[in-house]
Amino acid sequence: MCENVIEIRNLSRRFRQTLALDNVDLEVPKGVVLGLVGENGAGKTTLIRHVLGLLKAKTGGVLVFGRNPVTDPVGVLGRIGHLSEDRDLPGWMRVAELMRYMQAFYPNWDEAFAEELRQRFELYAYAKVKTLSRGRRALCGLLIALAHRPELLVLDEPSSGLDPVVRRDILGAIIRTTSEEGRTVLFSSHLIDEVERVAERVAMIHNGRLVLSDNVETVLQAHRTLTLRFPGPLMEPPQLEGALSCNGAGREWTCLTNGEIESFRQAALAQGAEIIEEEAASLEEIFVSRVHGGKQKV
Amino acid sequence: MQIRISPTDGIPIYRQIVNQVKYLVASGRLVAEEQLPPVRKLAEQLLVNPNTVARAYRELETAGVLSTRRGSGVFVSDNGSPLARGEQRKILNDRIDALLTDAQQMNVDTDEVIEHVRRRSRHLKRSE
Amino acid sequence: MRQTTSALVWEFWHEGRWGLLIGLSAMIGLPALVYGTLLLAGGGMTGIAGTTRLLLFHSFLMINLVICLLAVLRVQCDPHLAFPQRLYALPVPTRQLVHVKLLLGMVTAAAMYLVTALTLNIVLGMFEATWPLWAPAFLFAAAAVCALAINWATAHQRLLQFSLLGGAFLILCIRLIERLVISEQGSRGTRIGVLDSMTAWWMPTYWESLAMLLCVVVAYAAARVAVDGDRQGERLDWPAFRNWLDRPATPSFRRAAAFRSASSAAFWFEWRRKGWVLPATVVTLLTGVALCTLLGILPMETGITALGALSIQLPILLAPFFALWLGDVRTPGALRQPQCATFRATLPVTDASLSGALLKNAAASLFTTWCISLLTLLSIPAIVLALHRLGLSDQAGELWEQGSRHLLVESWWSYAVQGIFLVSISWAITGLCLSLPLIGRPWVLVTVLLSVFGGLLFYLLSIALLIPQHSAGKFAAWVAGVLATICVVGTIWAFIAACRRGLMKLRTAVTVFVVWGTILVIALALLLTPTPETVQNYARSDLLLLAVLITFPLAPLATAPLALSWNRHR
Repeated sequence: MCENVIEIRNLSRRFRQTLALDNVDLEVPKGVVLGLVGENGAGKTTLIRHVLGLLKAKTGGVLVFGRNPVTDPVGVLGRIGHLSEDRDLPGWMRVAELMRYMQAFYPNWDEAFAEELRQRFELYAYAKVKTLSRGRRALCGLLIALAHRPELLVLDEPSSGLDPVVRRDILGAIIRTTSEEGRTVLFSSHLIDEVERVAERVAMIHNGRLVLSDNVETVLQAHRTLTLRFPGPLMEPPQLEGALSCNGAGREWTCLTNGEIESFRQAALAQGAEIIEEEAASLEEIFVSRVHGGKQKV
Repeated sequence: MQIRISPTDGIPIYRQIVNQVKYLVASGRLVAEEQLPPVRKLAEQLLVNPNTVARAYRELETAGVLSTRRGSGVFVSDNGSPLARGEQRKILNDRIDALLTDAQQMNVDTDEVIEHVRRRSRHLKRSE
Repeated sequence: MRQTTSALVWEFWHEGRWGLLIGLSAMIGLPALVYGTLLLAGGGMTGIAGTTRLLLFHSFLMINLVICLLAVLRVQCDPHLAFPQRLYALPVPTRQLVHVKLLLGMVTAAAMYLVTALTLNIVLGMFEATWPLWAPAFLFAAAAVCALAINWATAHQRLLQFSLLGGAFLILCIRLIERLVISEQGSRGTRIGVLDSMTAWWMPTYWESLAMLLCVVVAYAAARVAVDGDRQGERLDWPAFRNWLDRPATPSFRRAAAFRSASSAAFWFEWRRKGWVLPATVVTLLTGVALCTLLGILPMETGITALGALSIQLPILLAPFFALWLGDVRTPGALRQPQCATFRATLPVTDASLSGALLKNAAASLFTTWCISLLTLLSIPAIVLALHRLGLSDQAGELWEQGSRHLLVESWWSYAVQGIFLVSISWAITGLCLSLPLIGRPWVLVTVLLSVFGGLLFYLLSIALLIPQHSAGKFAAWVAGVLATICVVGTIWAFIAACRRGLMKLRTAVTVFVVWGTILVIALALLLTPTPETVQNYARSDLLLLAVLITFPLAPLATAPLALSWNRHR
């Protein structure tokens, strides 16, 4: 029996004129690593802020651990470890002071584990947070998110703007967290190769709509790239049923299908094309073609 | 144990792990009764989801390449020889198929390909 | 060239208009408030002695200077009080940047003063009180240039920055106090002739003009050098003032024990962040004045009077600004995002405890400051007596005679009542000023401040122009009644709203109500017991005022959690 750690139903949110979230339905079961993927401004941070109770659900509902994060901050936030996008930490505190301060709020704080993390991340205990570099700041934020062994880890763009060494540290920390029983991870990223490696489920958001929400494996199996060879050169991309996008020029065109492979083959054959190559698509190609397919003229 | 994962390869990650472990066993870099790292450790090393590694290990176990011993970990099975040969044959088959496809596209027939192979083999022996 | 300048000017106006407008309304509003109160109490400006008017003018000059400089600095510097780095990326020569920014600062500061003085002159001019125009305008312009230059030259070295600014401010204060003393001596014995002493500062003296000009020139040179160096990445480094506060502590740095509870951790956080500033500022200022008096820079009588006056005025004047600053819970670097900082908002604590930590801090700061004031007030007579007995100072003897005569007139009881009155009013204002920025919506803050000052100006204008003299009292009483009713009803609504949102337990609200009722009853009893006839002497507005005075200090307990809740969950 797997209960849902996060349940989002019919969530919509409007900021003045822009529609940040459009009728989003999302479930995150316990023990799952969910990667939230989307362009900048697609709505990932807005969704995460709803989960943390920083935004009230104006339409629809958000339940975390079966509770409303707005009305019960202690019960919900006490079991969540959060790394914010802007790495918001009080600059005037020293790292040791920050650890001591956060310890007072979380009853499950593990002091030995926190010290071990601090040494592993190479954070000098007596340095002020504002003197830390960007990467170290992200690691500091990750430290205080992990040290109380949260049931749910929420990371907003954990690797953005960081060098590969720090990125490895962060990904390693995420993987170690998921190995422990029952811990759930929700992280948003636009580094899709990371999501492909580390996540079990992926949710794609585009212009506030949830375009895709499924297991990574299922998605990768369903989408295939097929290269077609047409009898004569084409000026425009061919219109084929079941194709998300078509790229190419002249006689050879590469198309990405979204699962209806048979109907696509029929349609291709009907137009006289020959399928000369077929291979699996990467998550990045799937995402790009889904986003471009929905692009509107400005 | 040196395993490389490339997510943009088009091949699912667990399959890449399976293939590489089979290759290591077939080429003798992993000997019988050698212990493989546990799921958690390998997942951390490769930076992939532990479930992916677990799935790869499961598939290798059903294929008979690995065997789990309770409490001790995962080990390479000691019935390696016929399997190794089977793996070797499979690897060579893949390479030959690729070579033949390329040759066909360049309109080179099979006899010419074999002649090329013999010539390269003599060249290699001379430079040893 | 012209296009770049006009672009920079447009940017200046566009970025800073709200800050400048708020500063301007504060500059007009504060003196208007005080003058208006005195008008109503004293029955006209002619009733106020010349010395008092001079003192008021000079005090307001300093306060307005601070407000004006704060507003200008906020626009012309980045959040770290340094030259805005992004301007370096523009293809504009450094000298043009410096010229434009300094000129804009000068002109804006002078203009703000001129507008203030003109407005006040028009509003209060019919009572023969005029503020001089040109000399203080020059002072404001020069001060703006110097402040900007100091900030740009000592950016990123907080200690040096604040020492220099504080030192310059102190020198200015001393000069103004000297000026005040001169003017006072000139005006002694005159009442209507107060105009003559005011005109003493219509034009600056020869030495003053020279000093200001010299300061401007030096500041300009320093600004050019500093900004040139900053643009090339070489900041002026003052080795003696290296930021030793920011150094990593040595491993022998003692790690304190863990906090007892989440609320004590939250209190510590707020205190370390901003809470300590108010008591520290008051102590510094009082110590500065005391040192000046002891070293003889200030005459003994002036110094003692100043010390006494400051120890009462400083908590009242500074506490609201301090509370506005304390209630600012945005992320320090991202000032454009008004929402509560993510770090704070994602702590696993309720809205009530988060706002409770801020309220407790405001209360603790205020209480500490009032204790310091009380200590100062109690120690003044002791020191004077000691100096007199030890024969160290001739003036001390005179002061002791004067003082003991003055002090024995009023009873300790009335002092105590006045003290409680002052403390509770200052707490009420502090608590409400804390709640305003806690809302996290700048337009609310701006609207409230502007409407308070606007309403006040409107009231003063209507008293002066619209209402005939004989019914002025009734009008005042009516307005007071309306305001009092709004306050009481507003407070009750706040408590009810807080209970309904679960921010306050019903038990707490009921307890507060009971306490409020008890205090009201006791106060009424105390007021009415002397003789039953005195009931008629107390107008309805006085009783309402009493109700407000008791209600107001309790209001922050409900408004602060409401404000934070409205901010944290959008």
